[in-house]
Amino acid sequence: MNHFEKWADELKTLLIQAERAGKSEQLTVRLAAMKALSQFVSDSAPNTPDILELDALASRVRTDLVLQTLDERVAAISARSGELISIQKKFGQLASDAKHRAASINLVQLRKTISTLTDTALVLKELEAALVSDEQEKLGTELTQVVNNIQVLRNRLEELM
Amino acid sequence: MPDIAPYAEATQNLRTAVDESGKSSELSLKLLEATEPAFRDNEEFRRSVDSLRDAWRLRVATLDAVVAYVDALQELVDAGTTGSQAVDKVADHLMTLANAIGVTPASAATSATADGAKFVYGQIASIRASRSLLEALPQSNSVVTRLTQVLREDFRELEGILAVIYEAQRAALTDAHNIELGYRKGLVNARKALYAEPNLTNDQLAHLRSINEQLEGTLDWYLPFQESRARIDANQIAAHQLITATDEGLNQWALAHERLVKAAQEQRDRPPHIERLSSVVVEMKEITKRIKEL
Repeated sequence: MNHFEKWADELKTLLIQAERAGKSEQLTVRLAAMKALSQFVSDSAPNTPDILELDALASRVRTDLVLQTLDERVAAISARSGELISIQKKFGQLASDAKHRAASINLVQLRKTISTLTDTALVLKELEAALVSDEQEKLGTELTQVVNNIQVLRNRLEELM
Repeated sequence: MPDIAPYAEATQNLRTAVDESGKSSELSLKLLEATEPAFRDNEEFRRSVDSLRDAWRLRVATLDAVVAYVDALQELVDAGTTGSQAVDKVADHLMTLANAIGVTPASAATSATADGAKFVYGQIASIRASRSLLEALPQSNSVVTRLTQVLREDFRELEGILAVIYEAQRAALTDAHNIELGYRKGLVNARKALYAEPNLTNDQLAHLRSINEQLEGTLDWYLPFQESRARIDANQIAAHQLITATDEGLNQWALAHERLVKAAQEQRDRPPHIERLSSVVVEMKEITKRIKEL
C-alpha cells in the first residue's frame, strides 16, 4: 500500500466518525471527531499534492462540524429569547411599582402639589402687582380670594402633618 | 428592613459578568473568522455570529431591567428608613408656600409636636415600606428563579460553542503551519533516532549537528506559533472559568433572592448566608478583569 492509499483509508474511518459525531448531541463526541481530523492533517505525510487534498477534505469536514454545532446551540439560545422579553417586561413593571410606592412613602406627590401651589401663588402676586387701577377693581377681589384659598389649603396640609 | 445593598451589588456584578461573557465569546468568533479562510465570507457562520450577538444583547438588557428593579427595592428600603426626613421636606415646602403667599405660619406646631409628627410618620413609612417589600419580593421570586434557569441553560450552550471555537482556532493555527510543522517533525524524529544510537559515528555526529542547526532555524516561526497556541489555551481557560463562576453566581443569586423574601417575611434586618454570593461575585470580578487583560 502506498502513502496515499494508507492515508486515504485512515481518512475514510475518520469521516465515518465525523458523520456519527454530527448525529450525536454530545459535545465530547463532536470535539473528539474534530481533534481526530486535526491530528490527521498534522500526521499525514509526505505533504504531496494528493495528500494535501486529503488534508483539505479533513479540514472541510471539521469546519462543517463547527458550523453545525454553532448553528444548533445558537438556535437553542435564541429559542429562549421570547421568554426573556416577557421576563424583562415583568421586571420593568415590578420596578415601576416599587418606585411608585417609594415615592408615595416619600410624600413626593404631596411635595409636588405644594410646589405647584407655591408657583401659582407667586405668579398671582406678580399679576396683582402688574394690574393698573381699573383692572385692579375688576380682578383684585378674585385674585385675593384665590390666594386666600391657597392659604386655607396650606393650613389644612400642615394639619395633616 | 432587609439589607438590599449587597444583593444590589451582586446583581450589578452578575450583569457585568454576563455582558463580558458575551463580548469575549463574540471576540473569539471574530478571531476565528479573521484567521481561518473557511469561516471568512461564510454566510452560515456570519448568521450564527449575528444571532448569538443579538440574543446575548437581550440577556444583558434583561439583567439591566433586574438591576433597575433591585435599585427600586433599595429606594423602597430607603423610603422606609428615612420617613422622618420626608416629613421635614414637606414642612420645608409648606414654609416656602407660606412665604410666597405672604403669611406667617401659625406657631401652633411646637417643637415637641413637630418631633412627634416626624416620629409617627417615620414608623408609618417603615411599616408601609416593609409591607411593600413583602408584596414585591414574592412576586418577583418566581421570575428570578426562571431567569436563572434560562441563563444557566444559555451558559451551557455557550460553553459548548466556545469549546468548538477554540478547537477550531487551534486547528486553524496548526493548519496554517502544516508544512513547516511537518518539516520540523521530520527533524525531531531524525534527531530522536540518532539519540537512540549507542555509539555515534563522526558522520552521524555531523548529521546531528546539522539537524540541531536546522531546528534552531525553525525557531523564528515555531516560538511565535507556540505563543499563539498558548494564548488560545489561556483564553479558553479564562472563558471556561468565567462561565463556571457566572453559573455558580447565578445559582447563589437566586438563592440569595429567596433568602431576601424570607428576611422580609420574618422582618429580619440582614438576610443570612449572602457571604457565598459575595465571594462568587468577587471571583467573577477577578476573572472578568483577567479576560480584559488577555
